[in-house]
Amino acid sequence: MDPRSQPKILYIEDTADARALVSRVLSRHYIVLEAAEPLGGIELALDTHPDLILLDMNLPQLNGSELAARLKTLLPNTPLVAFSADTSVEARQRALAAGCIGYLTKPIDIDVFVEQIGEFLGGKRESLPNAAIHQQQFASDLVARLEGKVRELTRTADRNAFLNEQNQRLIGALQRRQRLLEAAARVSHIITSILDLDELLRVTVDVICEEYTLYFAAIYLLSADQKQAALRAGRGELGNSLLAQGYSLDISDQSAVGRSIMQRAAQITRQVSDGSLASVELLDFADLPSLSELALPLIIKGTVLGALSFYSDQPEAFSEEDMPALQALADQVAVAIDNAHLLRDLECANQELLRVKTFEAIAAATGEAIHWVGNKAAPIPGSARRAREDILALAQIFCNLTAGGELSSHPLWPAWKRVIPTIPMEIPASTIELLSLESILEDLIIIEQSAQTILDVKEDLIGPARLKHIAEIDLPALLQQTIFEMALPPGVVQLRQAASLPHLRGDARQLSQLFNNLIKNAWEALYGFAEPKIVVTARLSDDPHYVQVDVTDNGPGIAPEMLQRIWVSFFTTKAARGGTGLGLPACMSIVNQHEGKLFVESTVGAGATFRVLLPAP
Amino acid sequence: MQGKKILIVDDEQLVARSMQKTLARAGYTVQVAYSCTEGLQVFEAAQAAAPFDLALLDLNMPGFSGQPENGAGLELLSRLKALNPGLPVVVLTAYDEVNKAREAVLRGAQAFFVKGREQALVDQVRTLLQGDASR
Repeated sequence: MDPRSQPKILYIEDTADARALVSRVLSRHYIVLEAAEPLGGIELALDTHPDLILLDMNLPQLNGSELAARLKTLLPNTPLVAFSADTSVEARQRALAAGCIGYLTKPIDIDVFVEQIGEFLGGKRESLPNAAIHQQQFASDLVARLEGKVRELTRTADRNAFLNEQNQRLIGALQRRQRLLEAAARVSHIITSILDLDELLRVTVDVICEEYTLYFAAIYLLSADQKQAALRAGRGELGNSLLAQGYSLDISDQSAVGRSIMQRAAQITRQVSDGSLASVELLDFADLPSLSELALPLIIKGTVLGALSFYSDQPEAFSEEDMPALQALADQVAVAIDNAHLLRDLECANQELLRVKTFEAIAAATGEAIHWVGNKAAPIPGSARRAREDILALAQIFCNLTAGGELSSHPLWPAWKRVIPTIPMEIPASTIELLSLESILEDLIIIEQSAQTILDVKEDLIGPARLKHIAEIDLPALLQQTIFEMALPPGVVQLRQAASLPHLRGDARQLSQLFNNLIKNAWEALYGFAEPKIVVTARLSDDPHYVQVDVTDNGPGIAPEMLQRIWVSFFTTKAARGGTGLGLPACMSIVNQHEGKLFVESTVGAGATFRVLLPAP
Repeated sequence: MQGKKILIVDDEQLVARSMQKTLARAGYTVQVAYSCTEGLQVFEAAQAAAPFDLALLDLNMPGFSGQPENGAGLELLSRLKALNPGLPVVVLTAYDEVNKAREAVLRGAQAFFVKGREQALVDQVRTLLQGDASR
């Protein structure tokens, strides 16, 4: 038989096994189309216009009767045959009332099933006695079913509205959280670049107030004994005034800040002004509107540093849902504070290390220093001894001269009488031979200069190792004072300064020592020169980050091979005139400590210029 | 022994001057030079008429080049010994210059003296010149 001429049968059945069986039985004689559910079945029926539709009565979504009624409306001429395991009379009646022309029961009898289908295709119609009654019953059932469906749909719609609302709320919360997190990221970005603790805290409260539109924000840090939280930064004038009076809170449950630190958890106070929570005494200071407070603990590596507290002029400004984002912010602030602390500690350690290193350098130089001090001190005992002997010899001479007593009427005679018995009578002949006032004075000068050189050695060795006292420096005044105190002959030193110089930061004593050494160095180089000139020039450097001071002399200059050696400790060309070989190394050390630069330019026979560059703020 | 001539060569003026005065009181005629070059000139100038009986040489001072040198005095020592092999020489030294002192003795120095105790220097000089006189 030509397959195209075979009748098409659509079988709507949700059970796969049933479809497979029926399809196998019918496919020898018919084209069998299958649908697994009612709506798909309706579509397939409309598309294919089958010659007969076999439909399961027990389907999801629509029951068999409803499906039959629908198909009857859409395809009024297509015979519908109900197929069900329900063998009751009522089931059969419902199917026929819905528009089916026949009712077959499961399980099928393979021998007669094909034949039964054939009969329906051939025009067989089962009759329903009292059809009107059954159809009325069917319509009533249908209405009841519809009503149920409508209720179900209404419930679903309500549920949808609820879900939608919840979605909106979630989206809103997520957006707020996103905003808070973004603000936290911005705050974090700004503050992590600040390493000075006070500046960090100040900027943090300002940025937080701006980002979160807050009335006031403050940072409290725990005291060393952990008993108090001191306000370390506060927004605006209120913050400044609290800071000025050293505002602090006891760590107790009397304040949100105290509780947040004790409990290591955020504390929300929804309405500070209701008085019941006694959150802050801040209310005493400010005429604040009804506001809410949030205190967040600042915790780093398990240690509480203090608390961050926010104040809003809205009564319910902070909610539990905001906590994760705001705590994230507090954590960032804690990290930044910790960084600032670490850096401060590191700087202290570094300073200590520098001091230790300097002392080590001194220790290394001590061997040489002993030698030098010994050398410089060598003439002192001899000179002192000679001066003593000479003075005694003078006294003896005077004693002999006054032996006759003819000066006994002189007003100073009683004093002289007291001295006479203390004069030893044995003075070596050689002493008497060489006795002169010049010799005594010369020995005293030798003693004075030797002792001074020793003190210079000490100053150059120890001076740069001193702890620095950094302050603002008025360079012109410092240079004038230094030059004045050196008391070089008038006209030797000329000071030329730019009209206005930026103030520097540095250690006044060290810088004074620096310029003193450089000018002294120039002066010593000019020894024996007829017209010694030292020009000190202070101006802004070509590189505007530095202030430049030049010390220029018109002395002999420095040979190229000496230019490096002058920076070495105990190297000197002026040993004969009390040079210690420590002055220029000390200068280098001072300039290095000020993060400046020091170098020398010189042409032999045309003087030398020592150039100091100090960082301008 | 009195009136014997001593040459001091040391670039540290105060040290040299003080030693000069101390030795002068002990009865010596003392001349001072402040560098190797000057020391050699003074020594050579005196060679013909009234040669020096003893030299005190610092080790670290401007050498013959005119620049400060460690151990420049050793070179002067050799030159003076070349001019007068019998000349007693005392090398002025410091605690940390043991090797240079040894080198000086190898080059013919009679003694070395650690700067600082001038009275001890007088004793040392006196001993050396007595030995010289007894020859």
